[in-house]
Amino acid sequence: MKRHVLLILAMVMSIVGASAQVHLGVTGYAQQLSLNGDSPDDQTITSGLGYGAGVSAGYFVTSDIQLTLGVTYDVRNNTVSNVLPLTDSLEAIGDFSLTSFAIPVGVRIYGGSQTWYFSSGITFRLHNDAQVVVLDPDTTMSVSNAFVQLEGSLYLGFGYMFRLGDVRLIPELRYEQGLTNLLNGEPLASLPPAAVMRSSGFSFRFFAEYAFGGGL
Amino acid sequence: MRQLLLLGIAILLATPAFANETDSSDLASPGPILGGHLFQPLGGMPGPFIRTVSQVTVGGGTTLNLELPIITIGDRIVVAPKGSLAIVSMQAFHEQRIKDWLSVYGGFRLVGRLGTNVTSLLSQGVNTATSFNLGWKVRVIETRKFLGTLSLDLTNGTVATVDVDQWIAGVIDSSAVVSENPLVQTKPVLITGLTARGAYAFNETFGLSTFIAGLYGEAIVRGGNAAIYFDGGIALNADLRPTTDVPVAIAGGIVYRQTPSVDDATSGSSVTTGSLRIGYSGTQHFAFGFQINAQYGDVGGEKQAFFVGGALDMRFYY
Repeated sequence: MKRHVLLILAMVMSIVGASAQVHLGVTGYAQQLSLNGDSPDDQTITSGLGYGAGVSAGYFVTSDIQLTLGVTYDVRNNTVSNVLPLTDSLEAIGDFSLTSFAIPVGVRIYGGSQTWYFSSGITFRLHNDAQVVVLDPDTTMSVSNAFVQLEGSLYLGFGYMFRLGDVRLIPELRYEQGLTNLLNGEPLASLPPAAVMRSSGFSFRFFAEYAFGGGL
Repeated sequence: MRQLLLLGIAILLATPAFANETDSSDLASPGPILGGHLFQPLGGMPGPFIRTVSQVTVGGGTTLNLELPIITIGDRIVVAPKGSLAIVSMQAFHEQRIKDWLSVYGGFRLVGRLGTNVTSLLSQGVNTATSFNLGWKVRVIETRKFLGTLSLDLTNGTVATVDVDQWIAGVIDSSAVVSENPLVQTKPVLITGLTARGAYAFNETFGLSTFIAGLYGEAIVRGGNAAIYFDGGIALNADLRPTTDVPVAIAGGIVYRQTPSVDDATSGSSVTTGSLRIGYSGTQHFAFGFQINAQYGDVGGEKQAFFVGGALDMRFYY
């Protein structure tokens, strides 16, 4: 295992060393992703502020097309007006939190001056945990079984690249639309058959990347 | 809804930034011009041009000589519906050119269909569909007279149906109003697809545009499987300005669309629309036109209806 990791690192470093088109960096973001689709009549789900952080990488295929890849720890928060259908045991207002490891794979396409860009791609999320937290009474419940393990969503956004020497500072606004159903089968009796719930919304992201070789 | 508004604002804020970065040669032609011919857009027909454009379309219609399926409970005919159906539709759309070979777009559409009197309302209920569409369009081939583009579309919608007929049957079957038999049924639907679009300019006066699409989408009826659907259309348009100096353009076309059925989980439905548009062609910075649509579509029970309607279509090219 350790040998494989070292081998991958060596390959990455050799590519980085050989190319002036590679960016590596860190990213952090705030997001407001809601859950849309079927919910019971007596339940409303309101999107709350989520967040995420991780590493990002980019590779310029041409001077205006950059392939991007990232790995982030991702948290989505929603407030649920009545958690009873979710927990099957408690009627109260709860905070629903879905944590995942997100892998966004995409492309940035830059305008003429290579500052403004449009981005698009797919984000894969491996769900780690789904929890409902109720304040009164103080209770935390895992509802992971109600949700699928893997989720796919499509994103598009636009951003601006500031160049400070070899460092690139990049704010980006991104819209995301879930492609896959989050619900695992028919978890709730109060939902219709073949219930569907998807995630969609906005995130504001900030990337700090190092341009190897002082490239683009 | 709030998210859609925010997305719209975000796109509009980005428009000037990208517009400033396009080549000066592109800016000379903001409108859909090919081979010297200014193409008139036809509502319902996806255009092949990669442009920055905002569009608003509002329309409505009604049925002619409508025959509706008879409502029966057991062997008894309960209602033999007469009357007509009304349709309203609204659409807002924005396409943003990123490069001269790539654009992205997003749109919001609302369509409602309802019976205009008691018996047609009983038979057809009320169907509303709201959808949010995202897409990416890429130029594949361009010559002096021909343009071919390919687009990837994603449509996320919600279909709400009030099926009075089915609801009454459910109430009679269970002898009660139960939650398993709701009067209003809503269903989220996701559809994705690939569309090939083309335009050919014969000369300054005449042009032809066409599209063909393959879509894969979820069923509208609960329990139905996702299926593949095909759309296609062709339109001919004539700009009178080069020959008569009158800034009027006429476009006519026919569009065939397959869609998931709203009342049968195992089958699709199809709609054929013929359209005629008269528009102003005095500028390439905006297109303003009135469009008459005649539509032939399924209304259930192996019955079909003929709809006639009109729409106002406005597009602004940046």
